[in-house]
Amino acid sequence: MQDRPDSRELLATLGDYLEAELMPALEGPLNYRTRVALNLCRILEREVRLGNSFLLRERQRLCRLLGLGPEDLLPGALQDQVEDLNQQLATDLARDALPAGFETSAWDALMATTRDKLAIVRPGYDRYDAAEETR
Amino acid sequence: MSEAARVQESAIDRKARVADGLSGFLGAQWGTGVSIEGMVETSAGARRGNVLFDAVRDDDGSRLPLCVTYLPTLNIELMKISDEAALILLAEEGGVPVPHVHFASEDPSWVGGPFFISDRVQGETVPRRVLRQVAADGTGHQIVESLGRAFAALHQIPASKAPESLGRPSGETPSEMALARLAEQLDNLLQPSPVFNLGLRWLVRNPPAPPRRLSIVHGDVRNGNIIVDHGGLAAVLDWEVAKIGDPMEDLAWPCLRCWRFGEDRREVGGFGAREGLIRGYSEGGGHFDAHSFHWWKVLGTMRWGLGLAGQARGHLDGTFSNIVMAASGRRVAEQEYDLLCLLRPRGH
Repeated sequence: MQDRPDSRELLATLGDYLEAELMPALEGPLNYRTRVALNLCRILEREVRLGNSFLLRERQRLCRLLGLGPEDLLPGALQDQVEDLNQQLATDLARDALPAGFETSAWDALMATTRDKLAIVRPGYDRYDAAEETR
Repeated sequence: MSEAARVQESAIDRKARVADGLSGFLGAQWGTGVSIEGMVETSAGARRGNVLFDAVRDDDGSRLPLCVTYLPTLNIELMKISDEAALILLAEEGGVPVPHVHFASEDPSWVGGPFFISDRVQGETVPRRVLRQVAADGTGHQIVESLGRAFAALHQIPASKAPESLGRPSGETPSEMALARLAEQLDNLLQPSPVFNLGLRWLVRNPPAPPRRLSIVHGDVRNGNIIVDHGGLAAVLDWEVAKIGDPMEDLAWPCLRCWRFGEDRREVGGFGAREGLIRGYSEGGGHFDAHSFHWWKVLGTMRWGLGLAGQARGHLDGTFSNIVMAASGRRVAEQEYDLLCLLRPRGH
């Protein structure tokens, strides 16, 4: 086991350094790129904290949607399993005929997963819902 | 030499080369010595270089505020610079607010690539600053209507007058053409995105009616590609992705959430509501089609998401590596979310 600071603490420290010490010393494109780097640090901090539990939830949703059990999962890393399940869903959605209600269930599962992704990469983005603009 | 130093130095070299070239070119055109002053390279355009400058004539001392648009390298030429210049003149003639083009040249020896020189229109172009200024001036609704009128003017120009090199559908409808390109982008993803597959499914099953007639479509009118002054919309810029297509594609594009820069409730570029756009467009003689507009909005949202994923791929495979491109990969989820909102099942 590594010594403290742990990954999350180090990412927080790295972000604080970029924000408080480096950015004020930079202008123009370098300031902008450093802001991007800072944002990536914040994303990684949240991913270290939340990523694994979100992947588990995504796997569960996809299994339910695709009617698969634990025995159907690829042996291996969680991330590879989720990618494989997403590939299966993508392939299903490309088929002409789908069971009744499948598209709506898929929409529900994908919306829940997308909100989880946003909680890591852009918290608060889902406060606005563009559905109000439709038709 | 560090990357930063290299970038800085090459910017200085380029600026000096452009200044020399402009002085030589304008001197030859006007038959007098010309000095180039106050050059500002604007950030806009990976596809085009833009430099604002003053040209001062030796003979009468007059000073003209101008802008040069050039191809920085000879790689991805979307449209010939001289065609772009011809198109802008055509749009001006049709009543679209654009910077007047004075000269165009395909000769790369002046500024390092083909270029055109136009008036420098005063105003703001940086999106968030534009929105702040518009809020202070109270010109949001006016800008939305002006955009509608500008689109109407552009779309009424007979497509036959456009430069022949403009992309156009051949046999298929504009929506079919756009869908084929989108499916290609989807195939190039580094990881599956069932959200985009759901989007493609909807697009394929809900095609818009073919447009009443094909029009010149600017293809990238949005906050960031327009100049806004205290009176409202001053000019439409960046014509290099124009094509012949469905007019509703143009109206839908500035209405994507990603071009509202935080002003989410103002559908048209963060400026105001759709109704003003439709009013301006109809008063200008355009025909608004609500389903087609929605379809192109869904398509545009997906296209932008796939574009961001493509930037991340370019970073990872080394074609165009930098931290901004890398970060784009983590912005795909925003477009996936907006796409799902637009596709929310009825009554759900």
